[in-house]
Amino acid sequence: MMREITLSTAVNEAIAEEMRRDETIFLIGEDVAEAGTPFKITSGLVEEFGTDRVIDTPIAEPGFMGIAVGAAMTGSRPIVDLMFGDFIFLIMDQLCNQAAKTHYMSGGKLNVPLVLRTNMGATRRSAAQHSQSLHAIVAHIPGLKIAMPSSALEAKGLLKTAIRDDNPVVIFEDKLMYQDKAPVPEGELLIPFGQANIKREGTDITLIGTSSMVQVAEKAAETLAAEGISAEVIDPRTIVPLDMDTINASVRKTSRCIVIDEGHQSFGVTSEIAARIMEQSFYHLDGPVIRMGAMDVPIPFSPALEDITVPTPEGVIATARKLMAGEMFDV
Amino acid sequence: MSDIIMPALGMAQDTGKLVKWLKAPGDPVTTGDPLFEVETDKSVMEVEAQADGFLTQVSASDGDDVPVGQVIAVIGDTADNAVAPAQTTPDPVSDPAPAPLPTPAPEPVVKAAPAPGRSAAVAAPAGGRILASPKARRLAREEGLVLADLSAHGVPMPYHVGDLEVLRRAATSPGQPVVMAATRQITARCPQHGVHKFIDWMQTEGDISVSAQAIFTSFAAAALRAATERNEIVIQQADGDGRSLRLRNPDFTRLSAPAHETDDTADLELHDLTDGFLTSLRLGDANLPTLGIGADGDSYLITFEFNGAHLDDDQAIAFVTGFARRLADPLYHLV
Repeated sequence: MMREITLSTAVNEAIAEEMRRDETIFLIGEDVAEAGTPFKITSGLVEEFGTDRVIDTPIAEPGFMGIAVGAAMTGSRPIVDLMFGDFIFLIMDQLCNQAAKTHYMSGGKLNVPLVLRTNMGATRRSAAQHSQSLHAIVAHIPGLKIAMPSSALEAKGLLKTAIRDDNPVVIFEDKLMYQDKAPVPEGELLIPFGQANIKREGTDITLIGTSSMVQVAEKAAETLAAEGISAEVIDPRTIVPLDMDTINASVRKTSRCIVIDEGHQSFGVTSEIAARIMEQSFYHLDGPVIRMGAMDVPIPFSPALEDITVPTPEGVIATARKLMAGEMFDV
Repeated sequence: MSDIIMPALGMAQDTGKLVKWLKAPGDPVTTGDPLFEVETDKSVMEVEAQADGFLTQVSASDGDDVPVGQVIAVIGDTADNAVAPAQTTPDPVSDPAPAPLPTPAPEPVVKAAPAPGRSAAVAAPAGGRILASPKARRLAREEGLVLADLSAHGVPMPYHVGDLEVLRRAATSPGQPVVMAATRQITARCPQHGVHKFIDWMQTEGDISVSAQAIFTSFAAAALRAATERNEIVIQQADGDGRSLRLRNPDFTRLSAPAHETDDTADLELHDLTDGFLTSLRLGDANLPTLGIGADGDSYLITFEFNGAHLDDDQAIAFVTGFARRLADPLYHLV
């Protein structure tokens, strides 16, 4: 029986294992050392690796991100902890103008082997400035890879792969999943980028979900199965690079698809995936590819409102039924 | 110069009613412009121009019944002779011998890519566009099926891959006239509770074992008998594994006894879907009135497909109502 660990333990293990393997790796961010982050993810690391390699910073995101990018260019392999994904707006220049473009601008002479760990996800009652899922914003920038773990297994395997990548990688962990447990094998675990995971096989409709939306898709698939609708659930695991081979093969089999992601629906990841499916598998579609994202509103603090802002299994089920029935989605 | 003819929009159609011209005599027209509207069995369709020029020699007016294949106007190079001379205008209503259909049919004026052996001219349904999924379009093209024909079968848009089955079946039975009367459908829902209670009651009170299948067959026969006042009712019972059984007057035998098998033509096909994953059948091209009984939670989902050759609408409604009422309260059947 494989052990089960929380997503937060999986991240801690990945960082510790990699830091033991490679002494050029260091961890930097607000409250990463003594406090172990507000989510208690990095607890214990400072005791093992010391304050030279687990570095608490002032509340100055642009500053420590800039330090990390410079360090990465000059031989270190920093792991940056950004306490909330919402703070990514503070480090856009360091991330998008510097880290993402340095390899290109230096003619390949410089690499930025940097991992930015941050989070996403609503329904934690954290209100509009601490609940956003902003991965689409950085996915738009060439030069960045974007991983979105959907369980403790992916959190560990993708993070270890990210740390060994010579390019900047941004990992978005769902802050509501930190205490979720999943089976994770002991020892070395690397999950390659650009390889989607077929979580559940099906023949009638493809449900593509990212991060916690994989669970939403799986719950929906279970209910749909009881109604005789066979749903295939796909977790892309990384949205840059995106495994279109697996997605296309699934959609060509089922002819129907719903893409579910917790970012705002407009101009988001769901739109990108749906558009690629439309371009590449158009003549295999028996209905429109449907996007389901967060509503285009600031995430409300009100629990009653917040819970309906993001996609739910019930919403996915209703949409799948409509798609299966061949109904129009014209309004 | 390009003749405009009254297209054949259905296989069993002799004349077409010109609902109205969408262009006036002498108007310039461009390929693809809607020229006029034609009424068919079930809908009004637009016919488009297949050439550029001017609408001339118009010989039929709004409201005329015009024999299929007859030239009703010409797309000319100039706007001259916009209206055909009166003496050459055939009176479509009083003319006892309309011009014979040209053989072979002239190049249709409507846009169509008819498959060999299929109707020569097929127009898009009213509004012009056929709404179909990309996959349905691709498969239709690969198989030589004409999506526009689906409207004649009463299949509503948008069309999906599943709808192509209607066209495939029509294509594989060219000897039989396609049932032009659209397949109609009635759905109903009623609680399962009554049937379960009835089966339990028979078992405990009379030590009689009755199957739900026997109840469905018997109730369907009784409801059909009441709705149509027929003396003989034959129910074809499909079991989902491809086997079927024809039973004569199953409502006359006791529910616990086997009904009489027969080789006579069936009046109704019954699909008991309650044990499987299907909830309803909408095959759209039933040769027989088809009754599907599916389970959905605590309810039965009843789907009844028929066409005007089988039953009229009132009979069909009475049948489904009677059947659902019997399922809801089996005692209704006994009294």
